[in-house]
Amino acid sequence: MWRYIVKRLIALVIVLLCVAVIIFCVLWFMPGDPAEIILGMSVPEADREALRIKMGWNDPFLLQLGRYMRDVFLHLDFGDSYQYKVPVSQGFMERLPRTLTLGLISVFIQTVIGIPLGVSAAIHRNTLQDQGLLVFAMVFISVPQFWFALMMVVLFSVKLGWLPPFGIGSWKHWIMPIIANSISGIAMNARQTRSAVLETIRSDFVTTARAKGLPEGKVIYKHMLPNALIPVINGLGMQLSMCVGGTVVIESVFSFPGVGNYMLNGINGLDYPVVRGCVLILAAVSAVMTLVVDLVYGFLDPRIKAQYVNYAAKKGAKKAA
Amino acid sequence: MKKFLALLLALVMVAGLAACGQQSAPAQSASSAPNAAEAIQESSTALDNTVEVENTGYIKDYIALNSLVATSLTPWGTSNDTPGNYEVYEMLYECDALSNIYPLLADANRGGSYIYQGKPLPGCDHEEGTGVYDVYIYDCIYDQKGEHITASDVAFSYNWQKDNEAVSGWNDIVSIEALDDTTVRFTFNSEVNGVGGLTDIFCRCFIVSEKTFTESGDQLVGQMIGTGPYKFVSFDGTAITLKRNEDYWQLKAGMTPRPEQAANVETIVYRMIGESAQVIIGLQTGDLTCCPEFNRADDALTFANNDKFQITYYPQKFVNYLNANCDEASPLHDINLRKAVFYAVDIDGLIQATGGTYERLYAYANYYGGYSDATWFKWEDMDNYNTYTGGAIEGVGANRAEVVKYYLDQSSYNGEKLYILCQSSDEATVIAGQLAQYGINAEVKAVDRTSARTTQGDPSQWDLEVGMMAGDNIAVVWEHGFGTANTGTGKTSNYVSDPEWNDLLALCNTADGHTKENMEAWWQHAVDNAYTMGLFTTKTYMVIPSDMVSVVQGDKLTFLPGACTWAAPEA
Repeated sequence: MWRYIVKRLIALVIVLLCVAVIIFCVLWFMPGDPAEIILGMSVPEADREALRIKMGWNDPFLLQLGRYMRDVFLHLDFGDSYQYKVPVSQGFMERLPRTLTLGLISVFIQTVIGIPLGVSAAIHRNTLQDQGLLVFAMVFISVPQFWFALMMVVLFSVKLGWLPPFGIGSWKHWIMPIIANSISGIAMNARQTRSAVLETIRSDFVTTARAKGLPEGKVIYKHMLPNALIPVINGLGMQLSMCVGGTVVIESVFSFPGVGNYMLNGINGLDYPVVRGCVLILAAVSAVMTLVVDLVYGFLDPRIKAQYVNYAAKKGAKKAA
Repeated sequence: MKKFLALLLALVMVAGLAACGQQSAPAQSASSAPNAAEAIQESSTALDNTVEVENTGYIKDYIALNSLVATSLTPWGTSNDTPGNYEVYEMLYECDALSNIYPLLADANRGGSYIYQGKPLPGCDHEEGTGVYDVYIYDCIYDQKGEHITASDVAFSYNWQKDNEAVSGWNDIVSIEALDDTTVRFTFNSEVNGVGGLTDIFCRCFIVSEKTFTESGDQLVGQMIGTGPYKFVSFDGTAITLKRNEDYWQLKAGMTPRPEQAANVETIVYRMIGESAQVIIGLQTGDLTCCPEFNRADDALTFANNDKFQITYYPQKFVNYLNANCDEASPLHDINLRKAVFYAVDIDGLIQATGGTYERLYAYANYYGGYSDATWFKWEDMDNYNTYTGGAIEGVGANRAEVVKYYLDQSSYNGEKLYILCQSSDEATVIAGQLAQYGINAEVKAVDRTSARTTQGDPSQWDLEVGMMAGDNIAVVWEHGFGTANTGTGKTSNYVSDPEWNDLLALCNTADGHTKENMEAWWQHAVDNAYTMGLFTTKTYMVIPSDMVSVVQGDKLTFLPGACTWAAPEA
């Protein structure tokens, strides 16, 4: 198992190297001159050229790429933001706690509400409860997140005056962003759980458990649910990896100073270091979450764990042979 | 059947939710442009910066307003537009809303031997022909940390900005040094003769204490410590909070601050909100007290007939223009085709079609200019294609359509597609439609800000450009648009290579050459050769609370919320 983990970590590094090269190339070939963005057009061309020389933007492509890869992977230096004038890592870390708080609470709510709703709907299938959940899921998966967020603002801030419409400060500032960020995830989790439980509910081992006279609750939570949760965990893994980078829309609507806003300002301002740094960090988070999900699979399902172990053992045996 | 019913129910709910999003506000939409223009005309008043500020003596407790996004709080940069800069920091001199320069940190009781903009400049001495300017500062200036500001701090501030930020017009500075505690010497390569030249030096650098800067730990990137009437409290990423500075140096020295330096609010909060919809919501919920800048009349109209607010407006210093690509790669290299295009554009129709709330511009510059500019020109008397009344061309009547046809016939145009480069496609789309009426085939090429300069740098990619430019005075606007120093190609940004025209512009930008005759000559040359035309200038709407008595603006029409005056609440 440890061998499997080490191999995945090595693969993660290779993925990050590829992402770094790709994002560097994409930004390199994008039209636009950072010197013009930073200095504007009301300064002489000589000043813009001086800035290009100072920042090394006139150097050959491979030299700039090599410099970038060396700084990032050997020194963990993502460079200084052109706009914010502080290191990208510092700017990112300042905003990360807020975004993580928003994201993790949302994932928690999506899990705690979505999964039980899905289980309940599956158990009471074809009843009003089940139909209601399906309608709810269809609506809130279809409705755009920003629209729902704005409607909440209109209702709770403008009409009722209960909650502040934007910014951060007290706990009241967090309510609407969290709800807006969670609602589609709740709908998705509920639907996925419902489908997964419906598949499992017809399995032989469930019939056997019932035939043995086990209480229904035990049948559901001890036997059915662990098997049904496997596909749901995949979705949860994706939601966790979206914790950091998937809140751009919500942060924009609520003027929330998080990582999403940081990245958006970087893209709008052609702030190359911020864009490169954020993309790389988000890629790393995503890759780590994928690994964690796979490991959790193995923990939940011994068959999958055995596959990992057997795969590694087979590889080792082939090499020895 | 059940599934169908469930699907239908879901669709009905979604449609219902979408319909709930429709606002039944009284605001007119841009599509009913004439109504919006009339409605805003009835609901708003023009801001008049020549009227003296009415000092009520009342100190308001708290206000919150929206602002641009601040990415860094550094006091220096290419635009100095971090929210709160003008409240927390001060410069040697500043300009008022009418672009008149006045001493702030410079000692008004000394100097005065230098004549600038037709008047002695207090606090400054200069000997003709030396390129040396001595500025004297008060001896009683302290920053908000209690540090005494001396001439060496002034020199430090200027040298730091010069060495670390590129600032327009500073290339000729040789040195800035402190002669003693209250005298700063500016030495230039040559006399500063350009129009507004010293304004670009003296009014473009906030002064900080070198000790404060060094001890801050972050070079004042994450905090603000200056000499102004407001102190920085906090910045949480989306809001900057300022508090009245009880220890403001002018008050402690027994001086009477100018209206721009007054502190009539206890706490100011700048909220960084990007969308106008959010600003409207903020005003409706009370989270915002005022909005100093709505560019669309529709947005400001939301608060028409609302007792809590009043709407005022002022023309911005921005000019919207139409440039013709004079490069050989473009069909508009042909002067007859250029003239046909310019005569074909109906400015009044364009304004109506895009919201009706712009002000017509007769030349590539608005009349809200710097010293003397605004009093010289009767723009409506000058030929700008739309003001043509006939008679200039033999056999062609006063009807502009006939003039367009005449020039089209003279040109070598064969129906080639002309590309209109723009960032916002509204105006360009209307212009393309107007050109199509005369058989001129045009297509809009909208690009984002980052791609605009790259595209403009390739003359084969565009033929007409709808752009926007700003400047402190008219000659500076022209310099930005048609100076050749900034392009690096020896031609203007629209590929005009006309030494006579360039020389005229250089003359207009000198203190001695900045005359009515030269300015008119330059503009007439542009019209005769159809290089460019002015379209309109934007009006900006302010939604302010009804208890605000006087609105105070500073340099570049920057809104100064702390300096505004307020009516005391009724007992």
